Amino acid sequence: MLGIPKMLAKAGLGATALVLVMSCASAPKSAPKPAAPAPTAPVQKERTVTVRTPVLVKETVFYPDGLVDTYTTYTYDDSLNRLLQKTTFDPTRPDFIEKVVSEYDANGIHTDDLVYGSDGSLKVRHDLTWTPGKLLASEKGQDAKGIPQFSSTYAYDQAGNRTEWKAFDGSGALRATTTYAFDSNKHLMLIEMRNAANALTGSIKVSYAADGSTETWAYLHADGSPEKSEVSILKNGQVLRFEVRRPDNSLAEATDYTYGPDGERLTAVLSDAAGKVKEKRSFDYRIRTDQKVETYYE
Amino acid sequence: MKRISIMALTALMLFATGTSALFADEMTEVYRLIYQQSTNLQDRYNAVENLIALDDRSVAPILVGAIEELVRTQDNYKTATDKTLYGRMVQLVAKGLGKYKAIDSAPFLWNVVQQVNDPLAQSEALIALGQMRALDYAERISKMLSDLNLTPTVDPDAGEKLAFGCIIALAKIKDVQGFAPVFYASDAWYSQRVRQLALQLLPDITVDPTDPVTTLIKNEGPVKKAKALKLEVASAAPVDRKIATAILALSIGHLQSDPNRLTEAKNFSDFRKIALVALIQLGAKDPAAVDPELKSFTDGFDTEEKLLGIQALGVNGTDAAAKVIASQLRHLNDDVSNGLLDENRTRLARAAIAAAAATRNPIVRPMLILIANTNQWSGSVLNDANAALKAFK
Repeated sequence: MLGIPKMLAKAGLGATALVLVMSCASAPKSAPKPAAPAPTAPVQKERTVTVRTPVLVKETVFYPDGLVDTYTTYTYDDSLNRLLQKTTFDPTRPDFIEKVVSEYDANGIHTDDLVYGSDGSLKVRHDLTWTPGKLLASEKGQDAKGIPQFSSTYAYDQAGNRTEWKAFDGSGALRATTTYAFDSNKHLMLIEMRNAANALTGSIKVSYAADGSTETWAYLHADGSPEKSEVSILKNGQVLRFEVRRPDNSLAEATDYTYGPDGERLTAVLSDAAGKVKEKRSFDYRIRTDQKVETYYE
Repeated sequence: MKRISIMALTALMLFATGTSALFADEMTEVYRLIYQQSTNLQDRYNAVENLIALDDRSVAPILVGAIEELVRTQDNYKTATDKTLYGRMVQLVAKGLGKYKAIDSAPFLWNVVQQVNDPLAQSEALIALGQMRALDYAERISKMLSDLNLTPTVDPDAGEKLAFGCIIALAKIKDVQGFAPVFYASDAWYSQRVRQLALQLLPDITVDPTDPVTTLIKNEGPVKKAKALKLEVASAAPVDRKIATAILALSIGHLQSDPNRLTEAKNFSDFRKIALVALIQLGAKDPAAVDPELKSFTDGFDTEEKLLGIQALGVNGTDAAAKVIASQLRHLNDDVSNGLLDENRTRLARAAIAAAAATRNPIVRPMLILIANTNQWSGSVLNDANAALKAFK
């Protein structure tokens, strides 16, 4: 996939939130011990572990003075596996601002999202298709009358890295093609964006500090001149700070993050170049626990 | 499309993501390009919709450019279909600008309010100005709402949509000058929904509404005065400001009331009762409150007001208040000594004794002793007087 730390930063999660093995929940199902005390090769064993997964249920956006600007609630099925609805509210408004309802087929495949405006009417419908490997294959947007608005298709390499994104307009005409290039370690290195005539319109070069402490996305114009850069400052795989820098590398704005014990992002504070807070966000979660059989060697 | 990516990945990864999403950056770049290269409004609308769905702050400058252009090119859209789409696009862009608090766009949003002939788009522009807390526009939005409040617009539905936007904008900007127009909106010609919204958001406009409330108390009729005073009492204004407002309200409530107009007199009494309850609850000990509190006790519209008046005097507890209470006890005692004992005097006397005890002021003690030794009083009054005296030992 794309650069993982940045991806997680934008996803609002810490790396450890993906899968966190908390404890052994049952005794290992071990093979019989060898009779002889002589050194032996490692023995494959299995054990059941409990996996804790933070599930975002509410995100609140605050003004710098602490008053609430908006908040978004996330509703799931009983197992907390499927997001059913995302609704955004403004405390000063009597109705929600926007509601997105996700639909799934009988096999649990996410098939579409329905976007409703504050008046309750359907605004946009997004239809999704997936690859056999459960990677997003295409998206198609249409308005309430079913008139196509846009669509996208995605291609992946064998490792599941996204290698291409094609964007089409409502008539189905290709408008842009974006390609993704990875190094041998599956790190995203370059994104190139091209218009309908296949002319380069811009690119993003991704670089990583050798010690894993930073990840930088350098945005370049079509002629190669710098447009801006984004720097993620990392610790243990978590983005502690996300900086947006101008072409001269001066700071434009920055977001600082804090995390909870399960790696879940708790707060995000956006500040301007002078450090003045512009916006705060908080995230609330429920914890889903799953049992998982894990293989290990002893 | 990024939204889809977010939710799709959410389903795959079996947990929800935060606000921002994956693959944001190149998507922003691509949709910006598509937006810039699109020549028809529908394609531009689609591109902007995708940009906003990206949930990426870096789209804000693109939206600023878009709103500026939309205002400039309004006359280019002449067909009903184009005008509808144009209005939707302005709404969409305004919503995005508000979300990202793109204050640079405030002049363009105000141009939308003034120039775009689409009430929903105008309303969304007003709300966006509020969301970005465009303080420079508080006065203009307040004036707009004040004008709207006066009389129904030619198209009432359009006027109501604008009022809705103004009310939310002023509630978000939180400037005190928004208080009065929203106050009047809560009682204007709009539908119940809009009036209710105004009433509900009034406390959000300012933590200290004392100045506009004072103006309302001076200039409005008793019902609006009462409504304004309730808002002041419930606000987070400093206690001394609340007390000063309540004293002013009580004084004006006596001055402006005409006892010959029964309904109005009743409304003024209700207004004064709110002030008296506030003074009691706030523990007001300001000597300036004594005269109007006494007037409520002596000339109150009904017994309830009289009892609140004497109770407020007891809470006041100053020498001035204690002297007044003592004086009233003397009057009552004189009446009873002259054989004028009745249920009402008994009730007032018991309230005055309780107030005297509450003052803990030695000035009232001689009168309590006098009452305790006036055998014409009922047993309950004598008991109260004796109990009150114990408080002074």
